[in-house]
Amino acid sequence: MNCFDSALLTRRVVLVDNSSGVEQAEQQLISRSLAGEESACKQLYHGYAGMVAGYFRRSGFDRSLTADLTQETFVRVFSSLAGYDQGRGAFRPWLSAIARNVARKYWRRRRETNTFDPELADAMFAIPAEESGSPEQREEISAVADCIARLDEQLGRLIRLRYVRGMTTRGIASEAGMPESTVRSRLGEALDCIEKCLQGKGIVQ
Amino acid sequence: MNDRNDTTRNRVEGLLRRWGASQAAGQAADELAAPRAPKPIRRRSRAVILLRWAPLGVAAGLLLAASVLFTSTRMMQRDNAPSSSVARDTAPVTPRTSPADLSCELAEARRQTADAQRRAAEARTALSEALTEKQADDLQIKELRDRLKRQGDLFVRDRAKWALMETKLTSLIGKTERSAVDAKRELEKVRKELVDARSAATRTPKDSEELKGLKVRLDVAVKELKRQQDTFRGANVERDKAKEALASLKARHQAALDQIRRVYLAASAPGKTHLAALQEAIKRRDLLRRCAALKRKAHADADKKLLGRAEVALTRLGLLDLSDPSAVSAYVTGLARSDLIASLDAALGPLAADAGTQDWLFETKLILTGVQRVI
Repeated sequence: MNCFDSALLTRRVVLVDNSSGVEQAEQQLISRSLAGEESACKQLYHGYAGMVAGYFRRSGFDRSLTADLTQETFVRVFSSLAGYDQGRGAFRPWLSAIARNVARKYWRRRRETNTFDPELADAMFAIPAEESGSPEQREEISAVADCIARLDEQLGRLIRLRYVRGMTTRGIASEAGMPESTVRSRLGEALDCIEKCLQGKGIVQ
Repeated sequence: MNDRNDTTRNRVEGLLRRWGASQAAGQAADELAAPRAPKPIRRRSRAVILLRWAPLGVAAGLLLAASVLFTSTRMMQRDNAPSSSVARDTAPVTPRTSPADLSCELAEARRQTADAQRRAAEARTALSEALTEKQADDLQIKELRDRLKRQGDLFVRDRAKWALMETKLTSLIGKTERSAVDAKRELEKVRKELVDARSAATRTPKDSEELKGLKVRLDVAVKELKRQQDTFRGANVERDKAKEALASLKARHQAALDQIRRVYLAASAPGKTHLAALQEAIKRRDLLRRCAALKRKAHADADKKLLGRAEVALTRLGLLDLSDPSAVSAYVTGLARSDLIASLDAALGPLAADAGTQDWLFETKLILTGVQRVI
């Protein structure tokens, strides 16, 4: 199997359009990868590399190390793909377990340990990416994005630092140059605004 | 109210996390796609380079001068030596040139010997490793076969037990149903008699006594019917339990077989998966060659026939073009329709067959049952 070579390429590929087909598509990709089909290996890599790299970044690894850890994760994935049993669980949790193991191995090499929130990163890793969600989920995500876009610039930045970069309030305070207590209150304010906006759109009650 | 607020806040938090995860995945993918910044090349000053390489240059110059001097001395010595080639060949070894040549030859011979010894040692190690590996494989296969046999014996025993229980319970249910019908009939009869007796009760005291007797009979009939109904329900529940136990037993046996197959294929076809692993296992375990030997040794016609059928199935599997889905599908369907696996199971049961045949039958069963489990 030539999965290792293809894992070096970095073009992003969207897996499927709807959640009902996700598991089927995953299984097909895995089967084709196991059969040695290089394009399937590439698709598998490109479909999940962003998610894995995002997890490493949110766990506090720098960009260069993130790329290395993502490669290492996929080397492990392709080495043990034959042992993956769909009957025991979906592919994503299996992949996330491997990525977590890789992260733990290099845990001490994280940048600023107080700046990032590994628990949040862990929790967010289990969430499916937007592309693999159902149309309803995509609509919800789109509504959230719209509500965030309506926030004032500073609140929007705080929300991005918290939920996209996965930073702790201390990390955000350091990044944004404001006291931690202010960050907390401003985040609460931002959440209130988003909640109201989503209520207006009928996304939340 | 607070609970509702918490639920809403949790929902908003969850949505934000999902949004964040999708954004982060996109950004991280873009970062991965972007080429990494090249590391800056540190330029060294000329003085540093000169200081570093000057001593080496001086040393090289001295070495060159020494070699020129040595060569010219050797040439002068050769000019003084006898010129005839015959004289050179027959002359005794002179101490001026021979020791160097001899030592070179000796060193070369030693090197070659050491090289040959090393190669021989490597070959011995490889052979020993291969033998050990083969022995380990054989041992592992034997262990797997024993494990499966133990499981199989247990399965056959339990299956017989549960099947017997199911038969007994079915028979009990039949009997109880019949008894309940009789009891119902008796009840109806007594009820009818009671109604008749009631209408006559007002006429004579004798009829009144008969009415009392009938009431007693009616109570007895009702109790009997109730008892029969309880028995019927109980027997039905027990039969369902027995059926469930049988199904669970079959599932456990299948899971054990799958597990053993995984271990077997990991040992016999490392690095291969699906049908390719089965094909590799047929090759690496020499199943077809071993089958030919077993057929020659077999006495009973039934054994020879079974070995022949299994050989055909293995040969077809070994030659199957895995890139042709229709060929794969035809093979799988044909195998499922035949009773070959059931025949292998039956042949694995008796202890009469020798260990070699048992091993072969077991491995063949693992491979053929694997066809439908690995695709």
